[in-house]
Amino acid sequence: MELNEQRRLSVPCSFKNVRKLAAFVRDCCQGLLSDEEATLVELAVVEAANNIVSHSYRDSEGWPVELASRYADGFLDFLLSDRGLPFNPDCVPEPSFDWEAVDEIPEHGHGLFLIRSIMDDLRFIHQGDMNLTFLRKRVGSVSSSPAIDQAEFVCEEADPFQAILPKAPKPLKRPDDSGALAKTIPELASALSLQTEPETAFGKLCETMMVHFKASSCAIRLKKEGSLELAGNAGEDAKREQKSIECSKDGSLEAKAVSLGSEIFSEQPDKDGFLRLCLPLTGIGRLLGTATLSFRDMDLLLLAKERFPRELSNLVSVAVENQMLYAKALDSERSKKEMETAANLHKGIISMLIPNVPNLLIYAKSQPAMEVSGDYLSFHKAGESTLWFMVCDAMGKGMSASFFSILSHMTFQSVLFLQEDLDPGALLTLSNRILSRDFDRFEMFMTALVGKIDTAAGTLKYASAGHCPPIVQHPIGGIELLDTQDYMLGVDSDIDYKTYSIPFTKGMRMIAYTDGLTDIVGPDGEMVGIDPLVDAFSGEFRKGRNVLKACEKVFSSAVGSSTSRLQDDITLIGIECA
Amino acid sequence: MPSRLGILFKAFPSPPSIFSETEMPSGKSSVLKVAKRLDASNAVEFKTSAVAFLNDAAVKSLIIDFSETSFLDSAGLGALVSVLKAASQSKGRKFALASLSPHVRQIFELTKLYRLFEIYNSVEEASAELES
Repeated sequence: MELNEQRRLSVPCSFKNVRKLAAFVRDCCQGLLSDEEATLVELAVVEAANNIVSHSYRDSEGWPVELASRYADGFLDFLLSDRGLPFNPDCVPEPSFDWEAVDEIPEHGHGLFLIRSIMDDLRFIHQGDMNLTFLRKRVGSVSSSPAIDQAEFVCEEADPFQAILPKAPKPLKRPDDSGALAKTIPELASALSLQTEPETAFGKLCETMMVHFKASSCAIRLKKEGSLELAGNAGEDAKREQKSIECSKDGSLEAKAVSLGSEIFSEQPDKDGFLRLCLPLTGIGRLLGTATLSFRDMDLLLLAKERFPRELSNLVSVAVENQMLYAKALDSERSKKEMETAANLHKGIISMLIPNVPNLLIYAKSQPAMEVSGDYLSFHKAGESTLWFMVCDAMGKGMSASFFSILSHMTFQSVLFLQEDLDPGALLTLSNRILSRDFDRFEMFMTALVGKIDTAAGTLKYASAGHCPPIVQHPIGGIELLDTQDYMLGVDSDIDYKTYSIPFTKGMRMIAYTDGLTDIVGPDGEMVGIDPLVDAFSGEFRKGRNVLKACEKVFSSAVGSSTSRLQDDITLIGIECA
Repeated sequence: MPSRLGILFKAFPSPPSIFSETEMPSGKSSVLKVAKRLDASNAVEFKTSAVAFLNDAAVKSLIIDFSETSFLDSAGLGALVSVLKAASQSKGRKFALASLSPHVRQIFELTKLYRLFEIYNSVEEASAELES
């Protein structure tokens, strides 16, 4: 996980799905904790999740369990949430056994003890209809643990889960503008529960605070790279005050408030006649910045200070933190839309339309691991009896792999457009020469299997650029892997790819695929591998299924057996000579 | 013609089991090998299998082989405690754990449950001890 990165995973409640959460945790720990520590953290989260399945949902499957994680300020945090029955950890006694009385040793009750032994912090919070289980693990040698203020979690209005899962914006609830100071913290919390467009959020936050504390102006400053940066102000007064606020950096109520960790105020008015009250804004384990309120009147300042308990700073901090995360969520949403556009372009450019070729049954399916695919699958019909097929897999996955798959697709199509009577080996050789320079510049490689089936001649010619060996099944006899030896595309521009040829007659079937299918990690944590794939097809064909049904069964089983999301793009084609 | 890698599979094998059982050459000890993970999703199945072994009159001792197990949670621990209780109630049946990975061993140490079980470095060592 990267610094300040956040991830989340939601699964239906079941012990089986707890394994998906476990895999998620292991992934989050990668690069941060040793294998030994990661296994223990995995265990702690698994115990907490098991607790939700057993106790919160009373073994009733299907209810939602969400796990969010983040890495920040030297801590790896996990937050499990559920909407089941609240859990009271005080009801679970510390394990204490009479070791001689084996029959009296309890079989349950070790989970909570294990979590507490492993993690640096564990909290159970019930908020609204939601239960939150917070687990924290220190990463590396952080000398001191920034305190997590309990107020962040117990305040009714400041939902800590919003900080991790920002909700859709809703209009700002304006406080009562009667002129009276807020009497209760919940009232103020309600006013500060800001969910609005990020561009205006800080201004509205300032307005809210001004109304409540009768201040002349207010500024929220967020810490950025060691300095305090003005991030928001409110109204004309605040704009006029901006200069003096900037000047006050040296004098530094902010610095004092930050260093003291508590609110501080100026006892003498500045040159413009303003008295200032400054609050440090402490986020989750880190300093976010400061909020400064300006007053003309010392009595008002003192009144506000009196009504400024520590919780206020926490409420503002949560609102600010939510707003920052909401802005990130909007960015993420924009990126997602861009990715959707890229995915649609990828699908549009690389058509997976299956041509109608007499005497051939053709299956083709592809599923990306991410939004866009680095796998490439395409057909090209030449005349009435000839079918070209291409199955490629660009190194990596996601956007970059997708770009190169489109590039190779256009190259194949261009070469075939100019010279359709090529052999597959020649097509790969020419395409590799065209692509190699660009592949080399971006250190990209691609595997490819190109085939040409001629039903009139009864042949299958193929060439491979380091691709997974295709499977061929004979109508009488066994199932076999065909030989594929040559280098991947992009390795060497001077390679001459070899064309292989085998008879492809009635009843024969050919299966081609990408390594996403063989590298699937099953429920037992092991990669499925190529042998079980061959084995699965052998079984399907023996049951009398044709290539369409056999491929669909294997493809859906493979996708279903993968833990959590797919590790790699998966592509499968099957062709049967009918 | 390309060279062939040969006909690979003649028969469709049975799906892999979560637990596999073997018998030591001496015939006195049965070994139940645990899967990669023993957790809440398979603890009940494990417990049922192990207790069924202990109820078999032919079985004199049962060794749980953890050589392939890298993850154990408290539900798995609870299942082991259950099996231990079943073994203590079946007269003369011996029960031991063998080949614990460092992680699995650590869980026993954290919970101090290592005090309850006979734990050996290998199945062979456990077998030799139980059959002596």
